[in-house]
Amino acid sequence: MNFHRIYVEKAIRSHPRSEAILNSSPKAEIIECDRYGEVFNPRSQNFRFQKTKPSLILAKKQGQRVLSTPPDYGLGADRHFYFSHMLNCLYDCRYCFLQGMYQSANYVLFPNYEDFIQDIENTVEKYSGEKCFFFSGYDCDSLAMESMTEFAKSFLPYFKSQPRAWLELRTKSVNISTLLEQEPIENVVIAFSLNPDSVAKSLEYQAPPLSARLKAMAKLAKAGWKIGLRIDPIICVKDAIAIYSEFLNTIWESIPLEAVHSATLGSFRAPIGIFKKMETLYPEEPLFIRGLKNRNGMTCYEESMESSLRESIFDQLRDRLPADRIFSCQ
Amino acid sequence: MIFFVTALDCEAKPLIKAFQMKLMGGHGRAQFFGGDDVALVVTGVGSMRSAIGTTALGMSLASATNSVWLNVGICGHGKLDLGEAVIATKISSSTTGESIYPQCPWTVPWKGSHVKTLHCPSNEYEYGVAFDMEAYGFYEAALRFSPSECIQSIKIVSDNQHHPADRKFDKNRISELIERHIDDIVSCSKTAAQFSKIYKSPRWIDAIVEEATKNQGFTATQRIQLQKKLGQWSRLSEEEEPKTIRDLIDNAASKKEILSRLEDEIQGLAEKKLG
Ligand code: SF4
Repeated sequence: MNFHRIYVEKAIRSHPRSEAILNSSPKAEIIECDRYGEVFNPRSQNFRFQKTKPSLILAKKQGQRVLSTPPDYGLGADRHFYFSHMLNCLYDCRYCFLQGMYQSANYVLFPNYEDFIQDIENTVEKYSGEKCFFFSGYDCDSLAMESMTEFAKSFLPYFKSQPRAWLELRTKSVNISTLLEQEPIENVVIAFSLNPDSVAKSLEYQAPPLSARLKAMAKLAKAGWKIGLRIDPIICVKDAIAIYSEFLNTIWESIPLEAVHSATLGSFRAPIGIFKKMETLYPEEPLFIRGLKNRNGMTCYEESMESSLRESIFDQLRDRLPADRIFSCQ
Repeated sequence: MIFFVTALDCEAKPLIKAFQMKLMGGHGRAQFFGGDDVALVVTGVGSMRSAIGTTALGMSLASATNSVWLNVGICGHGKLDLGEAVIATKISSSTTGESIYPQCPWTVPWKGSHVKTLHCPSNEYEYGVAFDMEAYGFYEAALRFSPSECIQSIKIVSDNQHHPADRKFDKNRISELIERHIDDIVSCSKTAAQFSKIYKSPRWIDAIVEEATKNQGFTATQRIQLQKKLGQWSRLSEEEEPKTIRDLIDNAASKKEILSRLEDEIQGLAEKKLG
């Protein structure tokens, strides 16, 4: 990837992964900083402006690297955790909460993967005897920048060696060569975020089209990888029930049901403060204007607008998948 | 709108000429110049003066918010040749030791450099670092009006270890150094202004809000609601002429009806656009 500027924390500059990235970007201006927060956190930055040409920030992830998910977010394991080797994403989905959560659209990469893996290992040891699920792709896309980050390549060997620890790689990317180059791992799920083609076209900027994602899923399924379907967030477009129904049929035509590890369904939702920021950044965005309401501290669709669509999608998922493989995030 | 900030009048001279600006007042020792969608302040030397001049100019014009702010001036440099220009990628204050990292998401023709803002002139050059006396004060003050991406500090090297600074400014030479980069500065400022336009509402909105406030007695809260809704409507409809809105206001029976009919219009347009 070509960056015009790379900010690097002094503490991580000599890390082999930082050096490899810096060496592969000879044209970038390298700017040293003490803490990445000096560049990433100042309030007077405009996420939308930066998104047109983001810089890279290399920083050492300190403190807690593995966190518990909120109670409602899970896939039926005993414990669920998430971790972020990176903040921000190559893609630019208009509904993405990152644009409201962070001041900056610059990518922050934490190259000290060994510390993350150690923390994951400690967590698994702490809850010995329990099934632990680790989610990656909460603050970024897990695979979109694989050629630079080598994230999957670096983390998969650990999960291969530790069957009690499950990993979900959440993605919209079709960068699957790292996965196809190796044998599928029983306890790793490749979870694709999906929406109907028309929704993807109007809201998921820079992301691969639905057809490309389905092709990637099919290839992985054929190779024996477990696939997750993440229909999240559902968007209340005109004729949504018909559009989502056709979309689900396309999915069933693309991959065998046996390959589907799980399906989750999520609503469009954002904490009110984060939503306000998103709305300020994109005042012309119809998504932020139509049919939304504040409820329990969140901005989400009016119940009347969304419930029939949710039910319809749920019914269709239930027609194809066992109930214990379907999950809901609201 | 583009706002320039310089310390010296000889730094300002090429900009005033390029944008055909005229003297339009001042604040204390700071002098303001203005032209078509452009303004400039000559602040005097020093970080504090730069901050005061920047703030004063910004406060004097409502259009200062979300506008482009450019600090143009000379610097000493510990590596570059005389006459080379740099854009600040990091600005540190020698007084507080703090740093700011200006963000620049568009292509500029200049190299980036760390700029250290000193409180007094110095001939002790640091490798790869630019020295000036204003950038930090300017930048902090301009952040009150615009986001970092719209604020840049462009410095032209007037001295280095081979040609240390003279105590006496050669004003013509300084103007000439700036003049050499004037085309790039003009084009950079215009590119930046395109970015900041995203958030500017069309001028007719202010006029309609004023009219409605006067004729219908809108409260302060309703005024804000109307302003926001008109902004949404204009962006969704992309209509340049607000005829639909004028008709809507003329035919509505009450303030409440104006706002609710406008909301219906907006919801309809949003639904159509979202598909
Ligand atoms: S792919 Fe996910 S993380 Fe990336 S922009 Fe879209 S929603 Fe956000």
